[in-house]
Amino acid sequence: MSEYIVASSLIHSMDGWQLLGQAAHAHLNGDPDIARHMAYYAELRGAMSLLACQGIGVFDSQHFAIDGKRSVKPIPYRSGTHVFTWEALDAWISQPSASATVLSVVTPGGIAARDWLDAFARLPGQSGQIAQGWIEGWGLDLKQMILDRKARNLSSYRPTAFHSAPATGISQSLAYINDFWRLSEPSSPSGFATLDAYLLRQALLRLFKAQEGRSLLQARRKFERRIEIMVHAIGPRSSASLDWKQFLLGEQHPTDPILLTEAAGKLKPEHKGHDLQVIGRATLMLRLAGGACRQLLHTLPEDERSMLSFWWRPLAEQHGLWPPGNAPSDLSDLWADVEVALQDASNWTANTPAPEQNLSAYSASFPQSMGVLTGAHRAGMWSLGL
Amino acid sequence: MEKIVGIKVNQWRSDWDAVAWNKKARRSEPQHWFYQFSIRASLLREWSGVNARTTNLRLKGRDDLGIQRRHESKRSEEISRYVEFGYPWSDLSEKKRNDPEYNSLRKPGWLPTAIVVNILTAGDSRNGKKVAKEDLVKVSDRKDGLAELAAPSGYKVKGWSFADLPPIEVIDGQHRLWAFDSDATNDFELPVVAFVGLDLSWQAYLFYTINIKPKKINASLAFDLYPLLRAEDWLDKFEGHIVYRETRAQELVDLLWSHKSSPWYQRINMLGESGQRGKTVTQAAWIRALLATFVRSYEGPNVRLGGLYGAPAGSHEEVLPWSRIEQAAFLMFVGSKLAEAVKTSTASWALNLRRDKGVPLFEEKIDAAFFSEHSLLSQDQGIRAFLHIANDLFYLNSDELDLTNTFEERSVKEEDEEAALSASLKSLSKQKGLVKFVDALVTELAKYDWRAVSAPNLPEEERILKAGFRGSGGYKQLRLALLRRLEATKGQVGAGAKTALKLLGA
Repeated sequence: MSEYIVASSLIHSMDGWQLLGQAAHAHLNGDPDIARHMAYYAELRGAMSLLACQGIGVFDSQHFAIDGKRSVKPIPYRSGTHVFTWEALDAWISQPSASATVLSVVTPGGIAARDWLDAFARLPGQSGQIAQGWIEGWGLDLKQMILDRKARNLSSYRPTAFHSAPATGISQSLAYINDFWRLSEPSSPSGFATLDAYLLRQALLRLFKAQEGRSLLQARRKFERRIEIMVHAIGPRSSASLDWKQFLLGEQHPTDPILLTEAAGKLKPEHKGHDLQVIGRATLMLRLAGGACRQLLHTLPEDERSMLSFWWRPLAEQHGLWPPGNAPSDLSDLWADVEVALQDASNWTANTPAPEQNLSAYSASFPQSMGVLTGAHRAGMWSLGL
Repeated sequence: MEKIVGIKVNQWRSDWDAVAWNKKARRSEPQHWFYQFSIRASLLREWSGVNARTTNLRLKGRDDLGIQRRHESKRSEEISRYVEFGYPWSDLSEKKRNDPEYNSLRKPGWLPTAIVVNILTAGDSRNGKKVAKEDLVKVSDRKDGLAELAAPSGYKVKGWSFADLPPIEVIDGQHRLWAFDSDATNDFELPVVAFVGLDLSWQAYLFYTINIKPKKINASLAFDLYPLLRAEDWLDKFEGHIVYRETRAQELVDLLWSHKSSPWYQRINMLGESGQRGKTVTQAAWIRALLATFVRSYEGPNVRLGGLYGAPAGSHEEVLPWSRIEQAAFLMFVGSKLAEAVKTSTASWALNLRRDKGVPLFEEKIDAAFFSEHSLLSQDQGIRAFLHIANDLFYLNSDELDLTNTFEERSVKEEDEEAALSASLKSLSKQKGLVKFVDALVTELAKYDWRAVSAPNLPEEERILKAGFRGSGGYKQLRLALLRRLEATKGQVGAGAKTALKLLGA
């Protein structure tokens, strides 16, 4: 059972990314209800993966946990999968050790978010509230689905045409998908360098407001000073494209990505664009789950890690990521296909008159691009650092 | 000379006996003790070869240091000032140091932490060399628990130098040694922890646990100061290598973008923004390309084709001790040679790209064959392929080209990047064998049709071929296509390409 729970962390993560891709596909195809449905399950699987990394196995009604002595014990509290997943997550994140885990997964500039936030907060333990905020925010749909039975039933059982929100236009959808990929581009050891940088910036603003009771606009000089002190203490490596101090002060790349803005949204399921918000939250939950799985995998020596290829190679071939027997030397090479599709989409959007921009025209121009752009499992692959 | 009396420190736990010793991996079981001595700085400098590097007798390359180490002159200068004047006086600006008003800030500059060294035995070898019998430093145990360190039998107080290898190698603290000049009048004693016959991998491990683990110095600098760390497999478990490789790849891209000597000066899309004319390859793509080529370890678990900057190479299986600046200079040198070869090429593919007026480049002098958006050389696939080919062939020819000794000792500090790069490029241009090899390589590479699938007026047959280079599958296809083309050429280039293909199983 313990081996099952640990192994399930990887599989839940990959399944979650797969579901996220299906959500994106449904969204691009103008089906926001299916998109929301798939994204919700992607979020759920991300949460289950994260819990499995902590030794908590979520099943139908009887759940299990691996204790400190490595023996598996049934959890006395019995409830359904969805309810238990949220409640276990909520209970887990309230522990300091859980916050430390979450903040070690997110690594802006290759440095654990915990180190950044502790240097900024100046008080121990303050950074924990950020981790809790992340889980609460990114698991919002899990929480709401438990509380709002009506919304759940509406989504799962009622004919969509009677209540569905209108679909987003193709150009807006492509812009969102472009954002998703730019944030997921394989880069630093954690695989999400750009996303982690933006998460840090948002977290610092939030922490500042919590500690000072004032926003950045109200106390800019004070915020600048604290950023300077933190950057000096942390000593991140700035480059031509990213000066950490300027970036964290909002002077470089001041606009947050659409995905993050949407993920923080509070629309109701019947509102247009709600599916994009769920997709955003699912992406962030899966980012955490993938990172936790990566940390778990890296407790193994490289030669043992490489033995897992029996699982991921056939899976990747099954999903058409590469021709059989032709795996890339590094999974981050899969980005090249995404780059081609994104450039094609960008050129098409720029060169096609707005009235002619529709799904049919786009699909006809780039029949293979849809599969690549909605193939979120690629990001799942490189997020594990295999 | 009198013997130096020290203490024998028996430091061993029975559970250490379970460690997997591996002589082949340079992790032989060490002695279960080490020694502590107090040794004059001048003597330690002589016996560890530090003095040899500052005289005309110095050896080229790193043989004289035994283990491959780098020296950051600025750091030693700081320590030297600190020893003489203490802190905070040593940190003052020169102006303030010259001002008598600040003399009251002068204090003693104690150095209480031990220099960690290894005393080589008769059986130890470094790059095929051993310490001459008359140069060996010997330690003998006394019955009272103390130990005696005896100078080399051939040692003379004045004018002594070792024959092949210095008898002592410094594991940690070389900058403290460098801080003392060779004049013994201002000498003082340093505490020294001395291991005897400690295998190389353990030395690297000690350096890591002393300096990096406690975050005393950043990983990138550490891997430059101690190049051996790049090949230590145990570091993989803690993502030590990944951090080094990622950081190093970023640093190299920064240098390739920011220095005028680079053919890619200001031509890398550092912000990852679309619509950047003349900057079609993003910084992230460059980093991934370097991680897949020069900065990687081995191609695969059973494929002994490694990254020139990340894996042991040559018959002695040593990592190249090149610094960040030297690594960047090499890439610039080879890249510039290729750009020049393409520029002077009159091959039809190059002429076709130059004739295409539909691609306005932001500078008229730029060669469209190299920088056009329709040239693979300005696309991710082409950059990756070029780096692969360059890495593969130089890796396989590292002994023949004597890459270990490519760079001359620089008189400029690494902190002055522009000057250090210029000096490194000058070093490269003086290596006749290397230059000949590079010229042969780029001449052949320039003959290849580097047009991308988007190039105008591409014949249908070529268009289908080029389409196969798009996407993730294209990296391998283009690399193999180039290697197969190079295989047909004569000389080292052709032989290297043939070996690379064989190792890749193609």
